[in-house]
Amino acid sequence: MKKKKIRERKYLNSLLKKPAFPLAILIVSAITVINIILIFDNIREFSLALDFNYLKPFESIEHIWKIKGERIALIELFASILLAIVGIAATIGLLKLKKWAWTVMMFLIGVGLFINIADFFRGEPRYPLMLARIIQAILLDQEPVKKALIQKDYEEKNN
Amino acid sequence: MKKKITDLELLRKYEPVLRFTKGEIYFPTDIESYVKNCSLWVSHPNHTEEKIVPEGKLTIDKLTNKYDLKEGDVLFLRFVDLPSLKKVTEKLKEGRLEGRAKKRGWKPGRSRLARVGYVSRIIDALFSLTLLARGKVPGIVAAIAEENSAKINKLNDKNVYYGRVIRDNGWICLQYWYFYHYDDWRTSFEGVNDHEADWEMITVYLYEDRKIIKPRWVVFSCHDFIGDNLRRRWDDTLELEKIGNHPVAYVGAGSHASYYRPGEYLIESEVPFFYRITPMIRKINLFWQTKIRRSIETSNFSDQTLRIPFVEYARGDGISIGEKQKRKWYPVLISERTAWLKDYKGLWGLYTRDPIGGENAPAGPMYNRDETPRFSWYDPLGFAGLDKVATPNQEIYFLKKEKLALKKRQKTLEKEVQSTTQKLYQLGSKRRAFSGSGGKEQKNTDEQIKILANQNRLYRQEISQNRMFLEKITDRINTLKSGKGDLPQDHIQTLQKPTGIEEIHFARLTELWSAASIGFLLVLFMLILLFMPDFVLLSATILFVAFVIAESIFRGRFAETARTITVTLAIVAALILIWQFFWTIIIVGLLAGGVYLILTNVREALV
Repeated sequence: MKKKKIRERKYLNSLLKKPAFPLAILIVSAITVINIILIFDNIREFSLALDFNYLKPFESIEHIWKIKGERIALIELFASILLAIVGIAATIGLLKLKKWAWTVMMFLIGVGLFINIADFFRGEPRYPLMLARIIQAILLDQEPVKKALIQKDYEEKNN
Repeated sequence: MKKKITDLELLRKYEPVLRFTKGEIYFPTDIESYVKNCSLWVSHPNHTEEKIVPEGKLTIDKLTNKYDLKEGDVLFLRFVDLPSLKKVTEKLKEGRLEGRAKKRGWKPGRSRLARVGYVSRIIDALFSLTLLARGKVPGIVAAIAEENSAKINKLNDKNVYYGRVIRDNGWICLQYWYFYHYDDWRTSFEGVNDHEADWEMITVYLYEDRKIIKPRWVVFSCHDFIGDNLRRRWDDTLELEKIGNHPVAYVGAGSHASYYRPGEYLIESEVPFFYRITPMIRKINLFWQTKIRRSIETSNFSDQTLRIPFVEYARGDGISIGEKQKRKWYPVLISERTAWLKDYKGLWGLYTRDPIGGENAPAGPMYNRDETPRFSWYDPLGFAGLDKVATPNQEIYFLKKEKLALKKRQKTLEKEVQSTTQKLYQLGSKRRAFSGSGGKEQKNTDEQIKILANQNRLYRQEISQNRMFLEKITDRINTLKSGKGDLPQDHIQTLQKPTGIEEIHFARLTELWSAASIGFLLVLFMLILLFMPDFVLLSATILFVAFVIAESIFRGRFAETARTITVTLAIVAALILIWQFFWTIIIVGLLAGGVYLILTNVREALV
């Protein structure tokens, strides 16, 4: 009987409380943080990887320069740094339930998926990364995530 | 004794008021003066044309003559005869052949292309290109038609409608047919098509209640739309404007389609090719929204995605005709017996051989272009979705009839249940007596019990259902008797609404972008083909995505576009993974299923 009463009270409290912080956001943020750490690791190792290339054996910058040319390699390096910075900003924003961060994160995942698909057709598939981004896209597109962001936005505007 | 109202009096009593848009020059007129200024032609299947009656010699009576036509021949009128080179030069000197209404004070609203998305614009571009291959009314014809029409109107500027009264199963349908010299929607109002001659129609539906004739519904014809959505109830104060007993229609500039409210309408025409694709996309979208996204809202995908957009200007700021207006109606009564309606099956204007039909002139009120009977003529009730709707007084009668039939059925069923139950009791007693004998008789009894028990269950089920139906019917009768009934818009599934003012004031830059982007995209694509042939697919994809993103920024819909693109890419990537790891996925799935089952069963066993 006691257990039943506690359960009922918990349920009633859950109805009165604000919606819980969506778990989906935590997972998406975690995946992005891992990506960013690995990008910086890549950069530190002078491995130029435009597409968060952490699951591939690192290539030396000389090797890449030989293949792609110095300019392209540099562009890729700066693109990686830019994506990493934007990724950090989006992750922080998403954890703070900001609407703009959702859009930026969705855009970043889209760019990543586009590169993954292009790589697949070029014969250089990176399946784990592809899977991670599919999961990110699905999680971020969940209705509860959107509702939480809208509610936070509404609260901020009213305060 | 009260005098019986004549058909003409009925027509006059409810004749609609038509409000036109500023810049419109064609108004409902009489056919006699038009036909006098036309020539009669026949088009042969081998693409040759022959003049049968020259201009000035043609009369309404001559239209009904029997002409020696062969299989595939098309009879048509020509309002604008083949222009001489002198005439063409003269008209070209006068100015532009297209966008003609601007000279008459008409101002275009927000561009139709700015109102719709990318896919619709691409389809529209392709549709526009088809005009190069299809037959179309040349721009010069619109210019000369304007002149010819003005000449006729100088001599006879009467606004005529052709009225028909049909009595059909309790309904009295008043059809008002309007004839226009020309439809200049494309050349004057940035619309889709032009054609010589135009027939439009409005119907008022009445019924008789205790010898008093009452109006109930109004239907304004609008392009090729049919069914319930076209209909408005007489007491619908929100959606139907009236002046006394006269419904007010707002006429589309150039096209002459009728609307219930003033404004600009975005009409979207479905492309035949996409009939099958649209439901498939809708299903995929529904699955994503409800199953994966866990959303109950499914409105993101519009059926209009794969359609050609066009704008209809029905502003009502121009000339008005009818009750309490400067211009009055001149009615002409018509019926199935009217010779020119019945016997002339040809087109009322130029036949351009347009396979889609939009640029060919229409046939008369009684026929379609292919000489088959016109739906709105032979079935005015079905045309408006009224074939299943009884008049209000008939509805109570039919409900009472249904109630009586149900009550009768209930009595029969109750008797059947009583009789079957008695038989079942008898068989049950017999079965218990035979219990343990195991013989043939016992088996037969068991079989009989089974059949009868089933039968009894069905009877009882029907009785229970009928009881519910009877209650509903009684409630409905009481509601109808109290005069409450349905709400005026209950029958409407899609309500056509004009575009809001705030949507019309759209940034000029966005309009320019909407107008130029598709052409610009095509040019860049060609440049890629020429200068980067090795990277066509990748470059074209990047180009297209960049355009879509630019478009979404212009429209303030970047977030939604980013979502759509990413989700689409996620689906593609998921398909790649399924393709590559099909068996691994199956094995992992089965293993996971097995582990789950073990855990669930073990937990159950432990509890």
